[in-house]
Amino acid sequence: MAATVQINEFNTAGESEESNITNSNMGSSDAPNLVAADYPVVPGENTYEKWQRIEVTAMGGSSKIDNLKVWRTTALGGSAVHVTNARIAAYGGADAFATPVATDSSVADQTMPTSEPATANLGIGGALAGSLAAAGSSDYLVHQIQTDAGDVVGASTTMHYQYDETA
Amino acid sequence: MGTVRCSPCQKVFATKAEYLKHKCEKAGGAMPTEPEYLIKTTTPHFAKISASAVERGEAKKKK
Repeated sequence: MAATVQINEFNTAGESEESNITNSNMGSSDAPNLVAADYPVVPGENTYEKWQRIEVTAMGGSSKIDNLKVWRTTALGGSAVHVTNARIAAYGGADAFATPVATDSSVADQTMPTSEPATANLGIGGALAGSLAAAGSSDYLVHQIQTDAGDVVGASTTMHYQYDETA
Repeated sequence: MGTVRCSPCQKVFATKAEYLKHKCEKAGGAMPTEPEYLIKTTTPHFAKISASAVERGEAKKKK
């Protein structure tokens, strides 16, 4: 049996947790599973940050979960930029939760990779080399889309969350 | 930490432990710690994905 793994999202100043989210749609609302069309972003402005964690709810007989990688495929519309705190080097440790904002993120200061990173880019326990041997969660993944005044609607992209599981 | 809401069934729990022990009605009564919870909610192809991952891992070990 394999480990059971899900993505959780954290919102509002109260750090409300939405467990096992059904999508990662981004928009002008600090809410999980939102319908992007209902919360459009004014060109030139940003989406709210997403604060998410990968959670192992049960190891399912496996001994280790590690090597967390996060990236996006398919191009964003116009000149929009997708930023994140995920990085493969100079990882600054686990970010403490802060209320998601729609101003330029001070936490997400890297460009989201558009292909699988060569090595882990999201930590566990504050380190990229970290691992889980029992139920638990990754560090926070923070990401945000910053649009340009000339951008138009229509882009749809795919987020990838990957981990290694050792039997 | 705030409350924990199960995205599939929308029930809200005061703690993570309570969430992990609940039987999700949208998952046929499975708990979040059981594969069926994922299979019946957000990851219907969980079994195939797992099997495929094991195959890739075995192939990697042989290299």
